[in-house]
Formats: sequence, C-alpha cells, structure tokens
Amino acid sequence: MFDIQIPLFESEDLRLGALDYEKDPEIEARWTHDPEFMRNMYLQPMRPLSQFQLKKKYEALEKKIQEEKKSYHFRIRSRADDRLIGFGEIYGIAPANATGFVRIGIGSGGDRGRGFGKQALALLMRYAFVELNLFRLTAFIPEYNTAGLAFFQKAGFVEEVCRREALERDGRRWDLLHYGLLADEWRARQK
Amino acid sequence: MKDILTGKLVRLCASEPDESTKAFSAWDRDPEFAGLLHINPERFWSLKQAQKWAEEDAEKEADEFFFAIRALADEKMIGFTGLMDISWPNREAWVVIGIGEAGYRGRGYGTEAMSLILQYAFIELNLHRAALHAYEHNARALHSYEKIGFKREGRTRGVARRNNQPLNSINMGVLRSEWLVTQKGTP
Repeated sequence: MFDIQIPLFESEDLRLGALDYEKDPEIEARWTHDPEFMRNMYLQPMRPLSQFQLKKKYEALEKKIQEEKKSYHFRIRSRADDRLIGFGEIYGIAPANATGFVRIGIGSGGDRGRGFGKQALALLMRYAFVELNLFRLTAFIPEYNTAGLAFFQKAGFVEEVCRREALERDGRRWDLLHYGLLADEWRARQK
Repeated sequence: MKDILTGKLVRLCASEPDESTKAFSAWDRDPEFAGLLHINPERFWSLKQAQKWAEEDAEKEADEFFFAIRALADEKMIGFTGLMDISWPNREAWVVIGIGEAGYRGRGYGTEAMSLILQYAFIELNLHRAALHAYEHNARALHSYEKIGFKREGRTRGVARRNNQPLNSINMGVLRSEWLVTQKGTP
C-alpha cells in the first residue's frame, strides 16, 4: 500500500534538498577539479569550474528543469550539519514511456565508502518509482568505474547494454555499460 | 575521388526545409513508419511551425548531420538518415534512419543508405564508433543492420510503453575497424 509516512527526502544520515547558491559553489568547485569524481560522473572531458561558472551552471540547470520538466536534481546534505555531500539526479524522463535515467555522486573521497551513496540512491529510487511512477531507471557506467558497477549491482541494477569502446580516456578505449532497474524488480526488493 | 554520398540505388543529400517538412508530415501518417521509428509519442504541428523549426535547424549547424535519401532512378525523396548526439572527444555518434515511402522498404534501399551514412561517419567524420537502437519487434531493421556489420550489444527493457505494455529495444554498435573490414574488396 502507499504509505505517505515513509519519508521521501530523509534517510538515516542524509537529506535531499535544493541548490544553495551561497554555500554550494565553493564546495562543488573543488569536486570539479577531481578527475576521479568527474570521470566517474560524466562522459565528457572533465572541466574544472570556478564558483562563478558553477553559479551560472546552477542558473542554467534550474531554467532547463523549469522549461523542459524532464529532470529532478537533488542536493545531498548531511542531516547532522547540513554539509553538502553530493548530488543526485533523475533525468531524461520520458513521461509517456515512464522511463528515466539516474546519476549520483559523492563529491569528496572522504565521504565515500560510508554508506552515503547507498542511502542517497535508495531515496532516489523511491522517488523515481513511488512518486514519479517510472517503469524503469537507467544508469550509464563507464567500465573503469569498478566501484560504481559494484554499487549499482548491489542495488539490484542489471547490465543491459555494453557500448563497446564508446569512451576514450587516458589514451585507450573503454566500454560504456547501461545498467537498468525495473520498478517491479525494485518493489520485489522492498519486501 | 569516390562520391561517398552516392551508392547504386540511393544518394544522401541536403534538402530544402519546405520539401522535407512536407515529406515528413506525410510519412508520419503511416502507422508502420511512425510506430517503428518513434520512441516518444508524436504531436501534429502546423506546416508553418514545422517549417520554422526545419529552417532554424538548417541555420544552426548543430552537432548533427541529417540527410534526405533520394532514389537515384527518379530522384524521389524516400526517407532520411542521420548522425546525432555526437561525442567528439569519444568519437561516437548515434545513427538514425527511416524509409518513409512504404514502396521502398524491404528492397535494399535502406540497407544501402545505412551503408552510406556509416561511410560518412567513418571516412568523413573520422568517428570511432556508431551506435543505434531499434525496437526488438522491428525484425527487418535489425536484420539489415546486422548485414551492414552492426553487432548486438544488449537489450533495453521497456525503452518505450504503449497500451500500458513495455516495448523493448535492441542496442547495436559498430566500430570503425569492424566496418573497414566489411569494405575490403569494395571499389
């Protein structure tokens, strides 16, 4: 049954919320200088950004979300001290098809391996399947992101597509994997 | 120098916005064309609006390359093909194709047009790989792509939904090295 008492945006340690133009750019600017973070999150070349550029990016992001209504962006903060930990998105939503894509990143190395990603992904999946009524979620994961592959596998995602040699980084080719999770599969895991 | 945009049955070319707009609005009325091609439900747009977008697209010079397919015998515009969502650092593009004129399907025109767009991708744009997806139930298309050299790379469950049922797609890809092998011995 649908239970409105289950929190959509809060987990044990984390809270999902909106962009903060005052506090976030300084922290996120550092993440954009971290090749490991950037190469795991994005398929385009990493590009370090200034706080100024990030603020512009936030403006463009909110404008795009408002106009296209095809994505949901969440900032991940610690409940204890409101510290920015990372961000997650449900994006590329096709409403008639009930499909969407998911990405999630924990910005600082020191915050990884502490279960934050798992909590945040759980919140995102609940939002996607219970609130947005999506039929499926897709995650794009580069072959070299072994931690990311294990992370999504543990969450129940299944490898569906291997785009062979779709990426070139560090002078060699890498496969890009599509991992998918269906709403039914997610529901079965909630029992 | 070889004309890489011309084959034995068809050639790829640019088209004027008003001709392609009219052709597309006619093709979209064919349920087989629309049903096999479109992932998202389609709307009807006025000729005026559709033409405005076609003109804006033509001016944009975006990172997309779309061609009309014309039959060599009578210069009839029979379909379209193109490369989109191009990632230049990774040198990958997504290929799309549709044969709008029903009488030209299943006769090798689409297969040759696909061969020409791949030639453009690999020989002119120097891409490393081409990707595509097509509905799992679109057997004719999947067979044609495999004949050209595309390899199956997976299956996306519920890529679309119609009548509250999920439709699946087959994902395929071909690398430049693989495609060059299929071209050996071709003049």
